[in-house]
Amino acid sequence: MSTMREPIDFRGRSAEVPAEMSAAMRQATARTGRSRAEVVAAFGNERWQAQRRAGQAIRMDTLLHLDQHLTTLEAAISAAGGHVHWAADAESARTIVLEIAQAHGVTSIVKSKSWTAKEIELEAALRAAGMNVLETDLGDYIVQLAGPRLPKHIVPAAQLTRQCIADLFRQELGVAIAGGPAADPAPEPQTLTLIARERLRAAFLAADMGLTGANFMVAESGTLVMVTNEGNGRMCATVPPLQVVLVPITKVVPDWAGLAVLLDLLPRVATGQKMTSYVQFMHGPRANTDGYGPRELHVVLIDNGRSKLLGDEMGRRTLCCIRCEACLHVCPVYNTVGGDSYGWVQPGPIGAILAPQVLGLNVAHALPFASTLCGACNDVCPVMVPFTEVLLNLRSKVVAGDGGNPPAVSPVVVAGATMAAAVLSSPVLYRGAAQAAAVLQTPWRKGDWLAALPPPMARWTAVRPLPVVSTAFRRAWHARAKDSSLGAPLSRARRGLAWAAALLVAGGLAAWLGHRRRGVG
Amino acid sequence: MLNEQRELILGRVRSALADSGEAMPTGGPMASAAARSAGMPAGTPGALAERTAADTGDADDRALLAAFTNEVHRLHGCVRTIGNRAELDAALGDLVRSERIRAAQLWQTEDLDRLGVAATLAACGVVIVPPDAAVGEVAACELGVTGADALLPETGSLLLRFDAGRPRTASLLPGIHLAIAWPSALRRGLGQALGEAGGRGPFVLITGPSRTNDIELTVTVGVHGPAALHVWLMDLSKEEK
Repeated sequence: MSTMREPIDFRGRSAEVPAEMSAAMRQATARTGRSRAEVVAAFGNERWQAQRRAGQAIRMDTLLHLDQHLTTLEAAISAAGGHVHWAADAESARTIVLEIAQAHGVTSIVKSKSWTAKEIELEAALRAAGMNVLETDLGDYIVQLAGPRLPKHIVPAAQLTRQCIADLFRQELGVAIAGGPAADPAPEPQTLTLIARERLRAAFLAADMGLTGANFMVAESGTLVMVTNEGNGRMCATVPPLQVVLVPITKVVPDWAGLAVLLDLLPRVATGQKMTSYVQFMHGPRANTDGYGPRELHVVLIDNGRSKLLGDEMGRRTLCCIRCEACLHVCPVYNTVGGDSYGWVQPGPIGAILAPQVLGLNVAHALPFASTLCGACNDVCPVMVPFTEVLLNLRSKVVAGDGGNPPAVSPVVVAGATMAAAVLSSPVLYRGAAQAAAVLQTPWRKGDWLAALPPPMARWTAVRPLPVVSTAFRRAWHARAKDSSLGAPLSRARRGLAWAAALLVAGGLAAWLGHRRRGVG
Repeated sequence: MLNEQRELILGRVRSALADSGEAMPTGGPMASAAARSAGMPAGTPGALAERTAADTGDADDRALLAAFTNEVHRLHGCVRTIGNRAELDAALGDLVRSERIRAAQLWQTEDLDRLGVAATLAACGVVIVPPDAAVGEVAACELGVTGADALLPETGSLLLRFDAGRPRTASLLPGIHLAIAWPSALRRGLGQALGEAGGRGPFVLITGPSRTNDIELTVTVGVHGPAALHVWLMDLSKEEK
């Protein structure tokens, strides 16, 4: 990936996020969450869990034989008339796309949503070369129109009102929308959608090149798969004479049976739909098909740091990701601080485990700690990426130091933690330490509390005192119970229980004696 | 330059996998899904395809059709059953009048030709745009008429394969997409449908009209693809095969 990057300051970036953005994010992700729960319930829970296990198995098997699948894919795409390019890093990928575009005299590009394009910072490079890049996903189109006027931390779909968007269309597109600025009632979303449809359609028809991503690539036939709702992906792949598809190497699927498993998983978790409106299966350029689609199809396979994760189990489990972003939707941290806080193209739980492994711990050491370890991501992931396990693994690497990175904590703290672990795991040492602590605590003891301990415990007692270490736990507990507001009721409850126990024993004894007198049994 | 990058990436992948200690197979590069699933625990592709079939295995065609219809309606598409040729002609006429269809692009298939769809539309004054017309001409059509190669009841999806005479534009550019299908196109699951269509050229899976919720999280239709999806099922008892 990028050779020199500043460390990501997650804490600093997340401090800038306004509260209203968090509320908007939760509103958006809550809806998806409800839909997801419904479609998963309709699928059947047992069947769903089996599907997830199968998805994981397919992804792991694919990664373990990735080189074979990639060469098969390349041969199949070429046989179908497509061109395959390989890009080891972001700069190579940008160069390849620029060369293709310049060789064809491209000036206008229509683009569908592509995280990979963002990852390699392609748009800026294309603009610098004098090409116009138009976002065609409706949300991205609106954001692009608004440009720098849009506040940094905003959830467009949840926070931009229809009135706002209408005003934007009036100013930027010169469209006359009934009612004028601040009209009441504001134009309907359907009206605004139709305006965007008309404008973007003209752009599709005039574009020199379509730039897209792909969700999967089926190796056995060289088919590229795009999972969408709006139809702009289909337009980018159908109308312009040239199409460039950017895909990470890890998105290959060996065969159609494997793809069917993953396609049953992806829409349900990603958007809460049983299936998106369009899943298009692109197979070569237009020659020998229906006569529509690009005359030339170029597929750029991008590594950009992924291959080094293949060397260990943790990396492979991370690379299983099928980019559904369900983990983002359920993450309490992401829903509070938003994507910008993660300082990388991929935010959320998947970003927190991917960035440190791809960018390195010296850049992304803060991200494994950007988690409450609640495990919601584990539960929702369609291919069972073990997020919390990987996060803990990465945290221990940050703390202990890994490779060229120094440990994040001092050797003194590490020694103290190691000693504490040894004491807590041995009953003899534990009791001995408790007895020693009961004596050693004396200088700082004020009644039953330790109010001001020396460093490093001073940071704790500055906020609240610690109870004294008592070797007679039962006595200390009773003393606290007597002093607390629960003392009297507890005493009454204990007396009541004692009476009930006594009555039961007496009754049982009487019954037994009666039994014996009658000589029964 | 191209080969260097290729060898660099494949070299990285191979050496990473070799270092991990995982055994590489000595057989061919790709086992079939069935062969692989035989060696893998339950829940892998072959077993799942069977289970999916078993899940709907007891349902007869009528039940599958009902499930398909419910799903399409849930997505604001429209399904109707057409009993005979007269009913089809009348329905086409109604569609042309109610939606003010002036031009349409149709698939040229044996099934649609036998039903005389093009002739009926032309008789209603609709200009029939050929299956290889320029994109701009198709974009000006109000209606696109296709067949459907597979119908999936669980999701309410239609699978359309593209080939000469079966333009992808008919289901994309016009504002209304009409798919005329036969119940024999019903498939029990995605695995079966993809197994048949996969690798035979480009195709699409269509599930309801084009949609977005990018404005105030409100679902709107017809963003780029058709705003309206009509599926007309030719009745089993009248099927001309």
